[in-house]
Formats: sequence, structure tokens, C-alpha cells
Amino acid sequence: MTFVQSYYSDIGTTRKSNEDSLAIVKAETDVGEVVLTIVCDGMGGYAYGEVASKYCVEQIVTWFKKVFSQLLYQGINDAVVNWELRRVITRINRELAEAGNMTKVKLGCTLTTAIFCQGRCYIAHVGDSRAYRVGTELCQLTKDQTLIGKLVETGKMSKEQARLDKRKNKLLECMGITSNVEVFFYSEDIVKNNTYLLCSDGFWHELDQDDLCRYLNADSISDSEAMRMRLHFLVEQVKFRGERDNISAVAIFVR
Amino acid sequence: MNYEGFVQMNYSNYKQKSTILSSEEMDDTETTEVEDCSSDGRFDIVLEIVSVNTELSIEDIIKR
Repeated sequence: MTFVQSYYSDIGTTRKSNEDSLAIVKAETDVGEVVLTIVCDGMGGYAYGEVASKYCVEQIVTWFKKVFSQLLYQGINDAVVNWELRRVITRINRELAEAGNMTKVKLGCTLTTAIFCQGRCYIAHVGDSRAYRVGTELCQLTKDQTLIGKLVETGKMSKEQARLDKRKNKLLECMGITSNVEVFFYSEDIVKNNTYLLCSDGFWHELDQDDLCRYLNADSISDSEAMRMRLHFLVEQVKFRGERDNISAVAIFVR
Repeated sequence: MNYEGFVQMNYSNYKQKSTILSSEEMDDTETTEVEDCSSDGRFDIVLEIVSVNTELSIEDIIKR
């Protein structure tokens, strides 16, 4: 199993700064390629969203290299990865919240990370960025931790109503604002010839299933540059359709 | 089944020394203690892309 990876991040049409951060780290190991991806969307309503997203990304990358690299050879399973991701994300959240309390500024961001290892995909998530699996069909792998997401999940609102609702940015969970955070965790066997996509809400707001399946399916991707061109094209589509937020995406195609 | 129970049932081959904590008890004082087994296997970073949009750190903000 090999991975083709790329990313694209854009300030968008309106914002004065890009508060998103992201990372892709790939390691060659005795059990095959292991890949970490992460996207964090700094919260524009708070000061220093770009600092919060940067801190989360750097901390998760450090954890991957120092801790996950050792866990891998002790024998991992869903429970272990679930536990360790919750642990590190809880710690990062607390550090952000404490820094915010000390400085009287709010350091908030979303966090969506995925690890691809030994045929499994592990996802941990806080906020309203998303992870998808894109093949012939689109599968959303994360739940939006938003007021609107909750209403859709409980059947009180349709997806179309949600797309138009002005409250769509109201988060129920995010990093750095409160001392406790609820981490969503998901895992599955990796599906070959599919693309795993992590993206900020600026990316997914204006795209639908047809867009993502058409441009991120296996037939359209030969290498990282081809993947980056596809992501760039989708970002331009999003901007053309009126998105005002920062726009960021990481894509991993599995061969 | 709650999360803690799930973890305990599936933890048999995990050599972590720390005790099982509830999610409320997780904090930065409970660092992960893993055995130093770096010689057990290869973990060669072959690609590292980190895209951030500020030079500021949390420490810089605290100092201000």
C-alpha cells in the first residue's frame, strides 16, 4: 500500500490573513509507509487563530515522531490509538486554554488529523473541519461539532437547510476555548484506490459530492503534482462560488 | 459501553505504564510513558510538510 499526497491552502477572497495550518508527514517503517495528516482552522472571531492552529499542528507532528513512532512497535490497535490521540489532543487543548487565560486572549482553532498505518485509518477530530473518503461515492468520516451539525444529526434540519443557515459557523467544540474538549474518533480499514481528504470548512461549504468525486477520484490522480492541481482547481471553484473564508485541504490517495 | 471500558478490554498488548484515566482526568501532567524501543524498528521520516502562516508562537504572545 502506497500513498500519494498533496495539499493546498489559500487565504481566500476576503480575509486579511490565512489562519489555517496543515501538515503531512510520511515515514518509512518496517511495517510499511505510515502517514500523518492534519488540518487546523484558526478561528477568525478570536485573536491569534493562526497561532493556535500552528501550535496544534506542530504539537501533533512532534507527538507523531516521538510517541507514535514508538507505539507502532509495541503493537497498536484502535483502542490504543484512540486513547493516545485523545490524550495528546486533550493536553494541547489545555495548554492553549491556559495560554489564553494568561494573556486574556482566546486562542481557538479546529483540529482534524488522520493517521494511515498498517492498513488502518485513524481519525481524531474537534470542530467543523472535515475528513472524507472519496471514491465512486463520497463518505464523510467526521461529524461536525456544530449547532447545525447537531440539528442535522438529530433529524431536525435537512442538509440543504443547514447549508443555507446563517448559524452554520457556531461551534459546539473547538480547541483552546474551554479546559475540556470532546474528541471525535473514527477508524476503518483503508480503502484502496480512494482518496482521503481533510479540509477546513472554507473548502467544503461550497462543494458537493459530485465535485469531490469527479476531481479527486482515482482516475484523475497520477502523482502529487496532479493531486495538487486538482485541489487548486477545487479551491478556485470554491472562491468563484462565493466562499469568503480561508480554504485549506490535504488529500491522500491510496494505491 | 463507555470509552474507559472499551479501552480496558483492548489494552492487553499495550505496554503503557500509566493507569487508565477518565477523559476528565487526562491532562498534561500525565505524560505518555512508553518504553524506549526505538531500536525495535525503523521510523524514517521521508516527507515532512508543515504549512503555517505566522512566525508568532504562544510564548511570544505570553511575553507581550
